[in-house]
Order: sequence, then structure tokens, then C-alpha cells
Amino acid sequence: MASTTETKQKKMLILKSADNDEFEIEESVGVQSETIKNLVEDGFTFVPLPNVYTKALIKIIDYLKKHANKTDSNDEEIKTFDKDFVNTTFDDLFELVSAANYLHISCLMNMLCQTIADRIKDKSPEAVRKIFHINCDYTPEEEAKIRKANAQAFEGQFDESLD
Amino acid sequence: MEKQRKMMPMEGGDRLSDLPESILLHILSMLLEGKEVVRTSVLSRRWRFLWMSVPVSLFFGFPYGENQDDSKEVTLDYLASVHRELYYWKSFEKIRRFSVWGLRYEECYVKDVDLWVHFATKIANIEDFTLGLFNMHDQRYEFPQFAYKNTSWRNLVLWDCQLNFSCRVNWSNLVSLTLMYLNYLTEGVMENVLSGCPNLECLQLDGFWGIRCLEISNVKLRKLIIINYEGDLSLEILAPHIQNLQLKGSCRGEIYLRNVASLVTAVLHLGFDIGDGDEFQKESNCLKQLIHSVAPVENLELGPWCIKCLSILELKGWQPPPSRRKFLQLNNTFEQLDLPGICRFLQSSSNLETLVIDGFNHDTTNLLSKYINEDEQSRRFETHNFNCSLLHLKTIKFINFLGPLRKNKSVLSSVKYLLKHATVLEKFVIAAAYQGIYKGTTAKDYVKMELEFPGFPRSSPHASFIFSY
Repeated sequence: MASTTETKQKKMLILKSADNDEFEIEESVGVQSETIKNLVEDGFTFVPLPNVYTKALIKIIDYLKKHANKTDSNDEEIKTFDKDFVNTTFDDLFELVSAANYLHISCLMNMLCQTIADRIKDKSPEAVRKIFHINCDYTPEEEAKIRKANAQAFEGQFDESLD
Repeated sequence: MEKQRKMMPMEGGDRLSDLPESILLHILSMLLEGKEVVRTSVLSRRWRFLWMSVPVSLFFGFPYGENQDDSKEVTLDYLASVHRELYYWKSFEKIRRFSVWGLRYEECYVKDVDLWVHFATKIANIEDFTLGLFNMHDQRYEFPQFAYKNTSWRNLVLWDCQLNFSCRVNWSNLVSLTLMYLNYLTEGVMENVLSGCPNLECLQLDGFWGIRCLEISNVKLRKLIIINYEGDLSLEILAPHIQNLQLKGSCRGEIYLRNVASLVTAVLHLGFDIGDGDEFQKESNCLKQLIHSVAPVENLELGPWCIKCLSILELKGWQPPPSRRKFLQLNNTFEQLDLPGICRFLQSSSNLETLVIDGFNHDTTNLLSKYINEDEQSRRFETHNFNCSLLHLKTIKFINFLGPLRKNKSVLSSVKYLLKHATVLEKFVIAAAYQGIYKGTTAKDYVKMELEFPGFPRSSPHASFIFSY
């Protein structure tokens, strides 16, 4: 029979952000990220993340910790957490989506992209431009041509509000 | 490590458009309607062609009207909306899945369905295509000739279509093929399909008759699923390369395995409708032969009908042949009546390492009660010698049992029986099913089981119980 005296110590990882801050997390929390998982499988315990800034990393570690402890009973709690998580500025969302993309966390990626897509949904192109500060660099003639090519897609009523 | 462009915040700038293309495509893929995605082309030059590369899956399911009168109208409306949607999607370059489901087919829709198939074969490079029609008026859609050649499909599901070939099939990249309710199928059609799919790995046939012998020589075809064989005459299967075979549903004729030399996993979840007057000679012979054919197979799963049938065969004195199976799953919340048949079957499973009893598929037919009553069978179970040696059985799992188990006589009997005969048992797992009305009582019941069960006599000193509820 195997010895039972060894104390079970949780394996830890160190993540280093783009601004050189270091964070210690449990391996089981970190491996929800495919990028981290691949490195862990190759034996790394120190993970430099040159594309992820401290501010985003703190939020993402929060997210990973919450989702690592997912059970049937805290389903509601996680839903509320997720809702709060995406309730932030566009600048934060874009920073997070880039980080989640780099870290390959697919559930987070889907949630963030859905949040951004929801701001495009049902809106007129003019409203979308204003919401995201998109600078239209078409000439009026070019724009008319593109609209004409898929005329039916531009028919109907759109949401012009900016919220 | 590859250096990626760092994103610098731009005060009030267009940070969305600055995101890498892969992220923008991911965002666009979250928009549900084709129109929405197409409209982004007008935002700026950056967005001009992005929409075309959005990976999408298209699923259309026909709704039903409130009553018969307006159902036709509802169908026509939906039909028009499918065509409108497809108009937008036709310029997309990455449509992985296209699925149309639930049209109650009449001949007047032939052009519409042809257009979908045309979309799936010629316009978009679709990988997964599902065409699910319902045959309501005895009018069947004939799968068009132009669709018998296609190299982009990987998964194809056809439901209620007629296959009529005047040319050779060429679906060279097809990996998985499911044909449902094709009804009449000939050996010639099957041969044409199989020879045209050299890369096929999984074949599922559901609801068919006409073939007497299904011969599969495709080397890559590893998985064969046969559901609801409706032929009156028996079906023979010659498939020397398949590793996974599943026979399911309600069969009319018998199924025999003539050559399944590579088989690793077999699922016998089939059953027959037995009338009251039948002696079911034919059906029990079929099961006996199937059990013989799968004796060398490593993993075996039996459904409710087969389990009942085993007990009837046991009463008639049948001995299952010795087997090499290491894994056995029994899908039934069995009753006292079933125990002798199961024990007899375990006697023929001396190499067994894992036994799973899954209560999810509950069988309500009283096939067995015609032959013997419960008291009599209990007495037989207690007095008869069902000793068996399970010298390798390490894991036993009771899963998906609903409601309290502690007072369930057949569960108690089988737990005691297994503890007595499994000499090297390590783990006995008892896990409750999804919980609903039984939640409170189940929990109490499990707490009591945790106290009682470990006290039962057992032959393995290392056996431990794990309860989960």
C-alpha cells in the first residue's frame, strides 16, 4: 500500500504580466488557459505573459478562480459574477478580449465576444460607428456601392440609440 | 516566443478595429443573423471583406402551426425566410455546418429542397450537412443526382430521402454518414455508397429494410450503428474491420454477425416487439447468436430487452459461452426477476474488470412475468447455485438509479451477491440519478446506505464504497 504520510501540497504556478508583476496561482486554476496548460505540460511553473497587462491579468485570475470552483450549486453565483465581469468600459473589454485570446480561454473568449457583439446587434451602421468610434474612410460613392451590393441587408428599421 | 503587437490605448480612437482579425471574426460569429454580419461591411475599409470569413453554422428548424389549417402557411413563411437567409450566407467562405430540419415534405417543395442541396454542394464549402425531412404524405424527396459528387462534406445526415443512383457516388472526404428512414435500401445502393466513401469512419443506418446482407470492406470504417431494422427477413453483417458496433431500437427481423473479427466494443440495445402468443424462438435464438459473436469482445453493453431475455434463456437452461470481456454495462433498473439471468451471465464473464449498472433506461415491459413469478424467482435465486468467480473485478458502479435504493430488494440482493463474489474488488460506486422530487428522500436514503452497506459480508478486504448523490 502506498504511504499516506506525504502531505498533499497544491502545485503552484507563477504568472508574470507584461508590466513585470508576478502572481502565484494554483496550477488547477491556471490550466483552464490552453496557453498555460501547454507550458505546464512541458514542465514550466514560471509563465511569462508578455501580452497581458497587470490590470487585465488580475481580472482574468479572478475569473479563472471563480470558474475553477464550478459546481452545480453555485451556478447562479457564477452567472452573477460573469454579468458583473463584462459590465465594464470598452477599453477594458478590448484589453480583456486580447488577453483571453492570447491565453486561449475559450469560455471567457465567447463571453467577451458575445458582449461586444451585443452592442452591434440591431444597430444601424451609423450607430455602431459612433458607439465604437469607428472612422468611416469610405467615400460616399464607395459606401453607396457597398450598400447596393447587399441592399436587402440594409432595409428595415434599426436601433439608432447609442447605449 | 513570438512577439505580438502590443496594444496601446488610443484615447478616443477606434480600438475595436485595431483588434486582430481573428478576434473580430470571433465577435462577428456571435451575431446570429446573416444580415447583421453583412451590414458590418459598410463600417469602414477595415470591415469591408471581414464578414465573408466569419465561420458560421446555419441551423434551420421548421416550426409547427397551432393547428392543421395554418400549418401550411407557417411552413411557407418559414420556407421564404430560409431562402432569404441563405441569400446572405451565400457569399460566406466558411460555413461549417448547414442543417435544415423538420420540413413536412410534399412534392410542391422539391425545388426548394433542391436549392438547399445545391447550396450545400455547390455554393458554400460546407463540411457538415443535415437534411431532415418528414415524410407526411407518402411523397419522398429524391436526393438529386448533382449531389452524389461532393468532396467538401465530412459529415452527412439524410433523413427521409430517397437515394436513386444513376451514377457512381463520390463523397471522398466523408467521415460520418447517417441515413435515417430511408426505408427500402438495396445491396446495390449500399455498395455504391460504401465504395464512394473511402474515408468513411462511422456509418449509422436507422429505419430501413430490403438489404439481407450488409457487407462492409472499407478499412477505415470503424463504427457501425444500426437502429430500428425494419426488415421481416434476417440481416447479416459482414464487417471485418469495424471496432465499435451498436445495435439499437426496435427490430422486426433478426440480425446476425457473420464476421466482426476486429470488434472491441459492442452495444446490444436492441429489442423485438413480442406479441402475447409468440414463443419468441426466433428472437431468443438471435440473442444467443449475438452473445456468441461478441464473446471475444472487450467491452459489452446490454439494453433492457436483452437483459430480460437473458433471464428467460436462463430458465430454459441456456449457458452463455465463456467470454473475454473486461467491461460490462447493463442498462436497466433490474428487478428480482432479472437476477438469475444476470448472475448466469456474470458466470460467463470471468475476465471482467469493470461492471456498470445504469438505471437510466428503465424497461416497463413484463416480458419475463409470463414465464415465472417474482416469489418463485427469488426462491430460485436464493437456493440455486449462482456462484461465480469474478477474480478480476475491481470496479462496480451503480449509476442513474432514481429514488431510494436501500429498501429496493433487487439492489440489495445484487450488492450482496457482488460483494460476496468479487474477491479483488476495490471500488463500489453508488450514484443517484438526476434529482427531482426524490431529492430529500434520496439524500436520507444515501446517508443510511453509507452506514449500512460497508457492514455487508464481502470477500475483498480492499473494497471501499463511494456514494454520490
